[in-house]
Formats: sequence, structure tokens, C-alpha cells
Amino acid sequence: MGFLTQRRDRQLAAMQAAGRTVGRSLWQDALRRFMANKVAMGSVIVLLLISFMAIFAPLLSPHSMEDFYWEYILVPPTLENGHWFGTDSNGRDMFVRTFYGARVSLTIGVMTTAVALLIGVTWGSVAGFFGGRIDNFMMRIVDVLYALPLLFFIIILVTVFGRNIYLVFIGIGAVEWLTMSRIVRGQTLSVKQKEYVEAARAIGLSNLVIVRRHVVPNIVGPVIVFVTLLIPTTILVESYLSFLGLGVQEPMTSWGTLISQGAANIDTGPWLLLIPGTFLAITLFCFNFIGDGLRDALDPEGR
Amino acid sequence: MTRPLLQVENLRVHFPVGGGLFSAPRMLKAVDDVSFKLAPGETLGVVGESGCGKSSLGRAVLQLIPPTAGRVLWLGEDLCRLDEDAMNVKRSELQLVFQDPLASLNPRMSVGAILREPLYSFEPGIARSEAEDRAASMMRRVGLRPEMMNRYPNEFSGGQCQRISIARAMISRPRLVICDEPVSALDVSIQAQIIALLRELQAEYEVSYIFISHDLSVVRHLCHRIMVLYLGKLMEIGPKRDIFDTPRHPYTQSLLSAVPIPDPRQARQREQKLIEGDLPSPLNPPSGCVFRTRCPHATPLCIKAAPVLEATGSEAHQVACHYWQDLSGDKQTKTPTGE
Repeated sequence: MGFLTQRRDRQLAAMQAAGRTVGRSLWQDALRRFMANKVAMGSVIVLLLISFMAIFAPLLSPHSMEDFYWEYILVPPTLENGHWFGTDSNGRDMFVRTFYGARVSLTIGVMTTAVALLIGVTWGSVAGFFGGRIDNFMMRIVDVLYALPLLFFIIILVTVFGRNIYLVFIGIGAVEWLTMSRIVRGQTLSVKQKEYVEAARAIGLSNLVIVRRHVVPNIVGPVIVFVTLLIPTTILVESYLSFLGLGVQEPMTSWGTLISQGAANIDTGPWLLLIPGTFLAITLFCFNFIGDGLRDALDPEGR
Repeated sequence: MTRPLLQVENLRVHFPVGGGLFSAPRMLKAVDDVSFKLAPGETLGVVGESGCGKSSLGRAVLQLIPPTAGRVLWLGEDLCRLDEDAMNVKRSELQLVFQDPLASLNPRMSVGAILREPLYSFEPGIARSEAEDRAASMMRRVGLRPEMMNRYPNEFSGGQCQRISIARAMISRPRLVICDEPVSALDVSIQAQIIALLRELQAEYEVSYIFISHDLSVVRHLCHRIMVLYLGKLMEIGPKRDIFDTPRHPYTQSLLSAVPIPDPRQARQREQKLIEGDLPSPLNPPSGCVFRTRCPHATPLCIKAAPVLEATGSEAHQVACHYWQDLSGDKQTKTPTGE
């Protein structure tokens, strides 16, 4: 990365010398600092690889995740018979199942985080910006929902609507946006004191425009960091819901489901636990490293 | 005086403080019964200690905080009675420049976007090319190169940021700009440049300023008239010459005697009239004259009755003190002369 930044610096210097002025926004600054962070960039690459495999491995593999190979039951990982990650107790190919599980887990992680992001940012910024009674009312709703235990909530959803992967989205999303809205509200409270918000009012902008154009862009930093930490949280929550049998349903699978099956077979086939567990752990690590890297890069003090 | 551009009558800004479910909030009187007029092209300086309501006054005039009582007449029309939309239309004529140059610019917007924003707001449907041209010429006008349009506020120095801030306020061709301590965060050399810029713009656009400051030497360079506030109350108001040469109110006198003089020999000869103690809490202001707790001349009358503004020698120079006539017999406070 070092030579890249050097080259960019030289380009900048050359352009400035040529009389052209190049704007370098806080974003570009942050991106440069993030790119210089080797651990975070490494994590990005690993995550991209895992996502790539999650998309293409099930498509390209000769095996399907639902095929039973009765002659290969509980075969350990090997390069000889085409089952690189071995097979499970039903004789299904673990390579395909692991990456199929990655699909489900990553989708749930990203989708529920997107839902949490949308609701949380809207809710928190409106509450924080308008303040007073509106704020009080909106945040008390958040408090009440906070008191609701996630597990209890999901069990109710599942008993009422039956087992369904979308219920997992809704269930986790409904809980995770609460923390997001609190973070956003706190940030909004500090941003709205800034003089540029008053200047925006002095040029006659409406409240909604001010929130959209002046408040939200300035709280994005902490929100992005929180998002990178929220994705692994939701993956983990999905895992334990599936582990408890409340999540995705056979023959569909996710890392959580695979781990729970692996745990049941820990004596006869430890790879059934180790392989999806390792992938889950690596993914969680990567998201956390990226979150750390973003926090450092977006911190204005670091400039 | 020609027809006033702005006429403020008995303006009060009170903030409720504290107060829970069972206790009534206490009232913080940030601005209490302040009246003044402002002519087109005139600069009115507002001076006082921090916390005396200078900024609240400015924001109440702009309706950025709702006044509790009183009228703000803009060319005869009461701004307090306008609804939000009507007020937003008026805002192109009344603008604001802030103290902290960097905090008053959105760090996520390029300078060009910051300058175009008022145009899009006040002239909806304006062509992008025209907005860009006007932003560029405004940048040139305040002494910045238009090529820097795509840069972001964090790449500019404090003085440059203040120029951008002034450009944003001026681009809609306002008739009144409230400058809230626009130079107090800047180096002295930069202060002089910014003041010179404000002066040039005033000559060019015939804009009026309300110049809020706690620095009397800055006010002296720019203002035509000066208004002294203490705990939200008007103490003294008058033409610059009268205020500096014959200050009538003991508070004004002590403020003036605190202005630093560059020549130490002259400084030693000056009679110091420093006041002691701290500003009383605005939540619990003294009875009668609010200044009496720190006034060296206070008498029982000052505890009982609040003085009203009365004209001194000239009608334009008014003071709120029971004893201004007795006090003006004193030797005049010496202040640095010359501008």
C-alpha cells in the first residue's frame, strides 16, 4: 500500500504545481488512512474471498448441498474423493454446505444490518434533531423495546408464524436498530449544536433538508463503524438462534446450523464443527478488524 | 436618522431553565427589554461580557430563537409575526457570520457547495452554471481564488474559513448581517484583514452590520454606534465618539479603562476603574439596577429602582443610570485615541 499512497501524493503535488487545485475531502483522507492499515485491508481481502466463494462455490461444485452420498458417510476432509471438507452424517458434501451456509449467514448479517441502519438512523436523527417532547416520546419507545428479550420475541414470532428465514431477519432487525438509534441520536445532539446547522437555518432550509444534508452526513463516521460491528453480531445471533433450532430450516443451512450439527457429532466427526466454526470465527475477526480500521481512519483527531 | 432598516422594540428573550414535573422552570433573562434602531448602511456594535445576552440578541433578531416578547420591525414589518415560510423568504436579507470559522462550515461540503446552497434556497430553479458563476465571483470578492471551490473547509486556515463564511452570508445580497464575534477566534493580523473586508463589503453593498464583540478596540474600528449590554439589559447606547470620549455609565467607563494601551508609560498614567467580582447569575439578577452589585457608586436607590434609559447631552446618546449626571463630573476615562 505504501507505494500507492506515495504515488498519489506525488500526483497531488504535481497537480498542485500545475496550478490545479485538488479538493481532498475528509472522506478521501479517511480512505487513504484506511488503505494504509494492513490488517484492515487484509480483512477486506479475506472477506471478499469468502463472499466470492459463498456466491460461486455452490454453483461450480459438482455436488449439490442436498445430495446424499450413502457410500461416503462421515468421511473426513480429503483431496482424494472430491469431498474436500469431508461429508456429514447424512453423506452430504461439507464443502458445498459450508459455503451455502456462508451465503445465508452473510445475507442475514448484511440484510438485517441494512434494516437496522435504515430504521435506526431515521429514528435517532429525527429524535435527536427535534428534541424535547418528540425526543422523549421516541426514545421511551426504544427503552421499552430494549426491555424485550430477543429470544422471547423470536420464540413468539416463530410460534405465531411458523419457522421462516424472514422471521429471523425481522426478529434480529427489530432488536438491533435500537442501539443504532441511540448512537445516532447522541451524535445528532452534538452535531445540531454546530454553527453550520444554525447557518443552514439562517438560509431558510427546512428541518428535513437540514437533517438530510447537514446532520446525517456528519454522523456517518461512527455509524459506519457501528455497522461493521453490527454485521458480525447479527451473524452470531443468527447462529445461536439456529443452534437452538429457531433459525433456518433443513435442508437450508447456515453456519449456525452447521455448527450445531457439528457439535452433535463432535466425537465421530470433529471437522463438522471445526470447519464452519473456523469460517465463522475468521469472518467475525475480519469485520472487527475493519471496524477498528474505520474507527481509526474516520477519527478526525488522527489527521 | 433616515427611516430605520431595523427597529427593535422592548425585545425580551427568556429561556426556561430546569423545572421538572412538579417544579416550575426558572426564567433566564438573556435579553431583557432592549430597544434600538438601525439605519441602512450603519454598523451597530454590541459589547458586553460573555453571558450578557449579546448572541441571544442577534439570534432573536434573526428569529433563530423565538423572542419571548417585543417586536422586531424590519422595514416596518414585524418579523415575530411572520410564519416560517414568510420568514424564510425574508432570510435572504438578514444573514449571520459566526465566531468559530471552522465550525460554521459543514466539513462534508466543498466550498463551492457551501456558497451555492443559499442561492438554491433563495432562488429555487436557478441554473447550476449561474450559481457557480456567482459563487466564483463571490469568492474572488472576499479574496479567495475560485479554483479552490472544490476544496473542503478543513483545508483552509481560520482566516480563509471566515472569508468563506462571509461570502456565504453576502452571496444573497443581504441588507443586514449580524456578525457574532467574527474575529475573536483569529490572530490579530488576520483580524485586521477581516475587518477591512467587512468594511469594503459595507461600502460596496450598503449593508448594515450588528457587530457583536467583547473587544472594544475592534468595535472602535468598525462601528458607527455602540450599545453596551449587561445581564441582558441595555446600559448605554450612543454614537461611537460619545461612548469612547464621554462614557456616562460606570460599567462602560470600567470597560473602557480595561482596554489595553500599547504604550506602557501612557498605560501607567491612566486611571483604572476596574470593577470587581463576577457577573451575577442571570437566573437571579440583582434587584433594581442589575449592575449595582459591582458598581462603586451604588446607593440604596439603585437597589430599589431600576434606572430607565435617558438621553444625555444628545438625543442619540442614552444611558441607564440614576447618577450619570453626578458621575460625568468625574475626570473622563482616558482611552487610546486615534483610529
